[in-house]
Amino acid sequence: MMFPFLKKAVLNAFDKPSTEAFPNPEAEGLGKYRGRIVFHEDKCVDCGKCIQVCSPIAITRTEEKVEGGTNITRSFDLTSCTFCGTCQDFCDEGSIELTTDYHMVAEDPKDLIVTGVTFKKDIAGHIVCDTSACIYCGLCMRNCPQSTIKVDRATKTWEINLDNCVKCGICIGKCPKKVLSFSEE
Amino acid sequence: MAGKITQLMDESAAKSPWLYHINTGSCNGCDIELVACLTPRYDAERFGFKLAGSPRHADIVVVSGPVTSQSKERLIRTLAQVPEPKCVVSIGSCPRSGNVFKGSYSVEGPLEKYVHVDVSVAGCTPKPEAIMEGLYRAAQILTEKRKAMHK
Repeated sequence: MMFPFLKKAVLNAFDKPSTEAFPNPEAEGLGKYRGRIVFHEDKCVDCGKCIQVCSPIAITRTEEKVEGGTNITRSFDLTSCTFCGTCQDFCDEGSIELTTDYHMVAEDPKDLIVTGVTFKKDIAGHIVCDTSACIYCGLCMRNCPQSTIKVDRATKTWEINLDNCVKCGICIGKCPKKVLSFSEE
Repeated sequence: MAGKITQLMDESAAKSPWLYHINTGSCNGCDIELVACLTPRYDAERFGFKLAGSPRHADIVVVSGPVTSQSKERLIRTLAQVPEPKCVVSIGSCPRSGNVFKGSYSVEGPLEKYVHVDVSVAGCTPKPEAIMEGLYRAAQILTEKRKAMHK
């Protein structure tokens, strides 16, 4: 046999090329790649957890007072992001989503900043607990993004540090007995 | 006649943009993906991209890493050796901002302080497809720069 690979060489001429096409539509949305961040601004409650957990400090928050509330602008700097996905994991409301979109190429770095504006209504009252029905389970304490609530099951006390409270309302949603609410005043 | 030759040279050079890769303290993730780009599977060489051994042969400079104090001097010296027109591509988050290393005593980034970055590819690390896209855009910018230079 003079050409041991002749058959293979001829067959390869009719095979699909092993080189991927460019641009490659088959690579879209595949695998578990964490790419471009999509911020669902309508779901955000401005609890501030994403900023706390972001290790490269890629998330910034600016606020602007408007009538009846505050406009909160949250921007995700993709040129600073590690794409670890921790903000997505910590967001209770599911407002941060890391998509599989990997096309993050820009000449101007401003194109790689994802921003969203959330309107937050001014709330006059603060979080109160109806201690007669409270079972002191501590779910509000564990889910509070700013660690403002202290619950002690042994002594049956429920305390809140109003200086740090951001009025996100997560504790109200987590309470199994529905004893938490915003006070009227 | 001289104009014709320059035009011919520009047209040929557009099809063979050579790369020079500088690692300024990168974690190696982006470097591996850049090398993956040149493998037969992604095959950046079909567009003429070729890894050059010397900065003096390069058209496109690919930088990865957050620019550490140790590599800063070398980065500046290497970039100064690249002939004009050149195009700088940053790969990953590190050269743009420092990523998780920002604020460190040994990080003197971002890269924008030392040289104008033409194309930035975001991701940590970017997919080889994204790097290819960045390089492709860099080649287009290079062609435009060369055209402006020889006007």
